[in-house]
Amino acid sequence: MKNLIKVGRARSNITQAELADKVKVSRQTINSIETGKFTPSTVLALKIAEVLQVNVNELFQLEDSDW
Amino acid sequence: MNGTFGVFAYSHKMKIVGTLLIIWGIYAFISKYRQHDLLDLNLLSGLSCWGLVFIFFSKEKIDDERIHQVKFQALAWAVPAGLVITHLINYFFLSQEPASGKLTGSISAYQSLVIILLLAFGLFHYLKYKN
Repeated sequence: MKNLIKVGRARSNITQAELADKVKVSRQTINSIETGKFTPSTVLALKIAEVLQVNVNELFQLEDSDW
Repeated sequence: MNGTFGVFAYSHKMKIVGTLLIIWGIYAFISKYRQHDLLDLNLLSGLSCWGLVFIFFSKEKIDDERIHQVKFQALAWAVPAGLVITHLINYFFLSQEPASGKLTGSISAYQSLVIILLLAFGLFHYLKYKN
């Protein structure tokens, strides 16, 4: 699954640590999501989208390998 | 997964209780060895078992869904791997006395669980820092 959290963070001008703090996870978790090592739950994905003020579809996109 | 059957539900402070139990086990093992020159693993493995359960199944400082997934991943690898190790130890050390056919030197359930939990604990920290 492709994600554009890094782009969303840059647009909102917040760091990994700040985002982690707002969605109540560790900074390492945000880093793992950004690098594609960890796929977040629906709840966490929605929280991240809300903090970055974008639609969740804009942050997470399915790839061919996901099917 | 919340409520009664919430996963990894012990408080973070239970890690201290777990550590103390392991220290108690090590102390009991050493003092028995010094006093009676006896290598008795029973109390050490029993207390270590409880200690490791409290350490492994208690919450981390920051306890989020990635930590839960990594813990589950570690357990999913450690249980079959620990079982293989237990079987190998039993295969090589569970010897049958030729005369009586009596079995000796089997690994106990506590010792087996300690092996599994140690594997899970090590793997959890490896995966946590690798990712």
